[in-house]
Amino acid sequence: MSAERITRREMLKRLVIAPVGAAVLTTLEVREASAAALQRYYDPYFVAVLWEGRTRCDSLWRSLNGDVVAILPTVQGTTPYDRLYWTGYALGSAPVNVNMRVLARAVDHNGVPLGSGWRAIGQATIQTLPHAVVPRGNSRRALGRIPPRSAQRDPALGLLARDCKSRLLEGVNAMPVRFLRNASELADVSWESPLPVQVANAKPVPADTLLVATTNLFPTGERDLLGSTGTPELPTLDACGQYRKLIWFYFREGAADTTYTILARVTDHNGAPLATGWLTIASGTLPGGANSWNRLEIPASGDAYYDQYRILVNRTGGSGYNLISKIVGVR
Amino acid sequence: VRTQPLTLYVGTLQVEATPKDVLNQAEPLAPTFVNAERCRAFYWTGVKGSDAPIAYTIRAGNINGWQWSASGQITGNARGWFRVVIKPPAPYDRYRFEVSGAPQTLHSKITGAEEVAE
Repeated sequence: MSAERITRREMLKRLVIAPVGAAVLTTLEVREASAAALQRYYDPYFVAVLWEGRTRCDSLWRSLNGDVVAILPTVQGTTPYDRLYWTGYALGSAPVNVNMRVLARAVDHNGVPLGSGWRAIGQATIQTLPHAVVPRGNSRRALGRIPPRSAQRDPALGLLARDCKSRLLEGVNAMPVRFLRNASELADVSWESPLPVQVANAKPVPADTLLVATTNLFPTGERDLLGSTGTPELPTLDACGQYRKLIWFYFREGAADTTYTILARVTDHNGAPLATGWLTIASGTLPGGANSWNRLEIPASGDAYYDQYRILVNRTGGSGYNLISKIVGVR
Repeated sequence: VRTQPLTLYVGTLQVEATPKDVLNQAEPLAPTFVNAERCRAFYWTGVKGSDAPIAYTIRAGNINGWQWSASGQITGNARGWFRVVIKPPAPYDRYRFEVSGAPQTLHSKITGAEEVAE
C-alpha cells in the first residue's frame, strides 16, 4: 500500500482539474428522498460532511462503509439536506467502472423505518480513469449531487444508503488520503479523523413531521389516513398554512388497487374553514406495489400554503393491507 | 433567501357588476395592500357564492400608479372552492385585488409568500 501526502487545498485542486465521468452521469435519474425523524436545519448554503472514507470496490454490492448488510444506512438524519454531493477519487493505475445506486427510506418518530427495504432513487455506472475524481450527476459542477432538483429547495431527504460495486479492469490499489491536522501533524482521513469543516449557521428545522400513521385498508371504502370515514369535514392535517409543500412518504404492504384523493382548504384567523367542503388538489391511483416505498409531493407543482388537508385512500380491489404513511411539511 | 407565508386578507365581499376590490373599495386607484414589496407570490383561495363566474383583475404598482396587471375569471359551482396564484414579474409596493360579476358572496383568503433574508 502506498501513501500520498495531500493537503486539503491539493485535494480541491484535483477535484477541479479532473471532472472525468461527469458526462456519463448527467442523465442519472434521481428523485427526492425520504424523511428522517432527526431534524436539524441548516441554511441552503450550509455544507456538512456526512460521510468520508475509502471503499474497496469489488464484485459485491456494498455500502460506502464497506458492509454488505442491506439494512444498514450509509448516512442518516439527512432530512435537513436538499441535496447531497458525492465526490471521490479513484485510486489505482487502471480505468474502472463502478456501478452505484442510491437508496432511501423514511423513518417514524422513533427512527424506525416505516417498512422493510429501500426506495431506489438513482443508479448509474461511474466510469473513471485512475487517479480521477468520481463525480456524480451534475453537468454544471464537477461535484455530484443527490438529488438534482432544479430551483426547488426541498429538504426532505432521509435515511440514505449508497451501494456500489465495480467491475475491475485491472487491480485497484488502496491509497490513504492525509491532511495537515496542524502545522506539524499529518493525519489519515477517516471517520474518526475527518477533513476539517467548519459547522456554522445552524437554524431551526424547515421541515416538520406532521403525521405518522398506519391506515387499515382491509375494509374497502374511502377513508382518510387516520381512518375516518363518516366525517367528511374532518381534516387529516390542520394548521398547515406555514408549509409550502407536504411530502407524503408511504410504505404499502399490499399491491391492491387503491385510489387517493387530496383535499385542501383555508381557514380564517380563528382556524375555522371559510366554508364547508374542500378543494380537490390531487387524485389518482396510489402508485407502488406490495412492500414498496413511495413518495408524493403535495401539491405536485407549485406551493401549497393551505391550512387544512384531508387525505383519502380507497382500496378498490384485491386483498386488504396496511398503508404506513409519514407526512413531512416543508417550510 | 427564503419565503414565508403571510396572511394578508381574510374576508367576505358582496360581488357586484361594478368592479371593486376585496376591501369593497370602488375607487380604482385605491390599493388593497401596501408595503408588499417583499411578496413574491400571492395565493388567493376561497369559496364562490353562486355558479356565475367572477372576473378578477390584479393590479400592481407604486405611489406613481399601476404598472402591471393580470386578469382572469374565477369559475366553479356555488359553494365551490377556488384558488388563484399570482406571481408578479417584479416586486411592487402596492396591489389591488379587484372583482366584478353577477351578485354573489365571495369568502376568500389571500396569503402572500414573503421573501425573508436569512
